[in-house]
Amino acid sequence: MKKSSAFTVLLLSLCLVFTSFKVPPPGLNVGDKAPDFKLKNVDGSMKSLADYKSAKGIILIFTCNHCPFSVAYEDRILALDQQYAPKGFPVVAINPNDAVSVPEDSWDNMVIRAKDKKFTFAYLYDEGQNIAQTYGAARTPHVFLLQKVGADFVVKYIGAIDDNTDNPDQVKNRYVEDAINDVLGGKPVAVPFTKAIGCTVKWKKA
Amino acid sequence: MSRTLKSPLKFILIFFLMSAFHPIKAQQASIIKLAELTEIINRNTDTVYVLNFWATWCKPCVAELPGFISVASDLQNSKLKFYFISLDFKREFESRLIPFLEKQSLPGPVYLLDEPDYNSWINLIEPTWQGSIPATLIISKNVDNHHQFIEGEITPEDLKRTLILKLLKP
Repeated sequence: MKKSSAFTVLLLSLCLVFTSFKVPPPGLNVGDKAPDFKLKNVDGSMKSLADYKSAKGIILIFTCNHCPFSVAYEDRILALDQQYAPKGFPVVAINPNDAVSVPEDSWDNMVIRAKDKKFTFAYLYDEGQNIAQTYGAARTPHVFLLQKVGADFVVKYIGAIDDNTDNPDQVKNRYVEDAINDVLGGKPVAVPFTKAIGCTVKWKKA
Repeated sequence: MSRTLKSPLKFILIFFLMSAFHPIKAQQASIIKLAELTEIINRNTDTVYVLNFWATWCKPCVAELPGFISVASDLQNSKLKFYFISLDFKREFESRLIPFLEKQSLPGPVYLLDEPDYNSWINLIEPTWQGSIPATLIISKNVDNHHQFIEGEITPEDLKRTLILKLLKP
């Protein structure tokens, strides 16, 4: 009797351990310092936040090839880079997905997509998924707007690009643009956090 | 709609024939707004509701649908109702959702939620929801006053176990 209850406790605690592994870490919050990384870009070079020496900030976007929501935003991500890179806020895109789960999101396919769509920004592969975990990327696309403060990058906004994935013509709130404009104007970001429907980040199966 | 009105008798006949020979009802789908969704969620009933948030473009969502079908069939005589809340784009209702449902009959009504400003309503459904799908909401208000939300896939075994526990409550 005692033995079996001890076994039950062991089983239960094992279940708890496994459940706790399934819950993604909370990730970064607005106001946190954004940890730097070193990830492979589609041009073969390694990229870090520290490489963006003259930037005022970075529009960091977790996105991918396969997700229809990411695809729906591709042109808008390009437009963000064209509009805000000259103002000191270039786009840096990171694909966090496990290519075993989604072959379309493999490194080779990233290179092809970047060429086809003529990406003007870095498109990095988070092969180990550590950066997505550290930042708390939950879905694609998922934006983290960073502002350069001294030598550091600080998170100023987390969330969606705007409020209409399906129809760019019916967008009412341009969350990322509004946040950048607030930062550029030296104001606190009025809407620093939004939620959106998106594809789950495809985590590696243990 | 206007086409069906032209020959109502024919359609009534087909409907009766279908309901006589099909154990699962023919698939319905319609477009709803948030008010209609919250009406379902806030209903005062002793029925357990399972609301699955999904989309035809979401691979893990589509992969888990057979699990919902089998659980619904296993528990078919229970006070249990399934709703499938599609987050497909509204413009793809006819071109994508309807053709999908012609191939796969789900054990409950399918509603495409036409609310593109996700940030305005995700927290109203569930504050812990990050916004990824699949996600499943189990409501058993008059059974155990409970509201259970699962973000991510749910196995048929887990879903069935959860539902049986709820349905067993007096």
